[in-house]
Amino acid sequence: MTETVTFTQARKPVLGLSARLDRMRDGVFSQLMLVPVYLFVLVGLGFPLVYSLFLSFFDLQLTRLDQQKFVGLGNYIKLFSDPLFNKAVPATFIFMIGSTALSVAIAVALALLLNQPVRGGTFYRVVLLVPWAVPPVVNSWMWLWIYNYNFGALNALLRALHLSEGYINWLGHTNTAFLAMIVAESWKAMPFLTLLLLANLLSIPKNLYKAAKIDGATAWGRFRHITLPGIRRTLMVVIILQSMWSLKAFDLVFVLTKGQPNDSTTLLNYMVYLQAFNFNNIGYGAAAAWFLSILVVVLTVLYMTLLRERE
Amino acid sequence: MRTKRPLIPKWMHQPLLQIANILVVVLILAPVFWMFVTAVLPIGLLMRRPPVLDFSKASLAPFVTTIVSKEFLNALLNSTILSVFTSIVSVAGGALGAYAIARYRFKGKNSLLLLLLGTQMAPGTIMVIPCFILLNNMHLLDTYLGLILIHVAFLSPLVIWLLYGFFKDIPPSLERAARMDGCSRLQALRLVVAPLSVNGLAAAGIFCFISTWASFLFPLVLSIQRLNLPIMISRFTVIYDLDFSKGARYGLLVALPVVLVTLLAQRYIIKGIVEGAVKQ
Repeated sequence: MTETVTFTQARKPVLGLSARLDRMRDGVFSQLMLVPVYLFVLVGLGFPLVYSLFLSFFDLQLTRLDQQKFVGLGNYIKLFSDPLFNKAVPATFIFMIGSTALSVAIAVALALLLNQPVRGGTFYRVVLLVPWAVPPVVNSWMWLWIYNYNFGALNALLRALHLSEGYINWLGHTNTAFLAMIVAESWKAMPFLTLLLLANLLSIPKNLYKAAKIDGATAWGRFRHITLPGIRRTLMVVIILQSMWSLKAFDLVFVLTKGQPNDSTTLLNYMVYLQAFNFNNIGYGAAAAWFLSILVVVLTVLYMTLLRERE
Repeated sequence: MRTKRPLIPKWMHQPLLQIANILVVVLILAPVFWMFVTAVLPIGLLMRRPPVLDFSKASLAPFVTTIVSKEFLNALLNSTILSVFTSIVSVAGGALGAYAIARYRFKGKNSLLLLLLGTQMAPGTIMVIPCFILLNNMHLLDTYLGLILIHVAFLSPLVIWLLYGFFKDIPPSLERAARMDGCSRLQALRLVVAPLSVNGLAAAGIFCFISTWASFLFPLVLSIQRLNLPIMISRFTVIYDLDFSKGARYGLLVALPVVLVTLLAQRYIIKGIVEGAVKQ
């Protein structure tokens, strides 16, 4: 006769997913958890990136995707004799320098202002977040309407204040169109930069200012010798971040200027889009996209070296 | 030594600061206010030189008309589906990976982190060109699935970085204690780590939602029928539709949820930016 033995309920299951995971070594378990990352990043991002590099060596038309002709570096060589590209490169740099200069200048001024203790200070910081939250397309459309030649608020306002007699076609002339783009971009970009600078300002010890005051330093002297050295690193970071973002500007160009007048405000990223999806030159567009990416990488490497220096 | 008389007497500091702050607020809000004016006033009053700002004719009724219109609801549905699913997938997948990176040591961990950061340099156009062909070959052009996939791929590196920073701050000793008390790996995750990371997961989710909500380039190229809200707005220009008042209503309606969430979460956003800046 065999005796029946009752087992006490085992606390840990031996079979099933949970038990299998428990028996795994840490190394295997961590790799298992990383599977989605590998899928998203290597397959979802890495493969298209490599594929676009591959495409940039081919002559490929959007309308005839089955016919691709290997042209080697042909697309890249063609870039430098392309009149649109030769307009887009300087335009991109003008926009980068202009929007970075304006938004960083505003950000420094605002950060200094918000750093002063004032009643209702939280309210002012919260309002600052509004432009940051507005989606880029909405921002661009909003300014498109403000700059409108016939009925825009800007012309009406200038007229009402007797600052300008005639109406100005802001988006119709190269110089004013650049100005219009730079202002619209800076309005949206400035809050984030301001908050980064403000965070840095708050971390400067107040004692330094007190000591300088006792020693008879003027307000300018305190700014020059305490504040400026204190925020120098963040200032560099902010400049490089904004330069990086402005190099990639797309929504703004698409909605606000469409690269006009005379293709003068066609920035590189917009030119890539035009080449690939309006002029149907997929391979050529990919080459232009890689050119732009390399530009951005050069800037980002600069950014990372700066960050590492900080540590 | 003679102390110099200050340029601005002390009693004037606060009023002057208030004036400066209010001026800044006015400059920041003026463009948005103008969009609001455009949305509520009959467009005929604004399309004059100078515009007639007769607020007795203002009405919120056009908003209702816009909201219940088929094209708006359609774009709203597309934007919502896209944003919700992109957020869920990237946060769920990103959380697993971020947790593994934060907790375990493995070969190439730092390179992986750097690689993830590196992908942020890429402009959207470099992705959208190959993805157009790939999705075309897979017959995924103009589908939710194709759009969600490309958004997840593009956003997950930042999600992973966000959550990585978050998981690093949860002390591993808590999980070790749970494991010693007989919790399985999954139980430790579910009962100990998950409750502690609700804030971080929510922050990453909101970040994903906001980014996808505003997404323009990917839907512009990869969809024809499934227009999202930003694409609708980009059409209220000279080429398609000159109705500025309708454009303003669309703009406000699209910006409103994002601005509201941002203002509600402002404490965390400002804290996040400030702490992130200090940590770096």
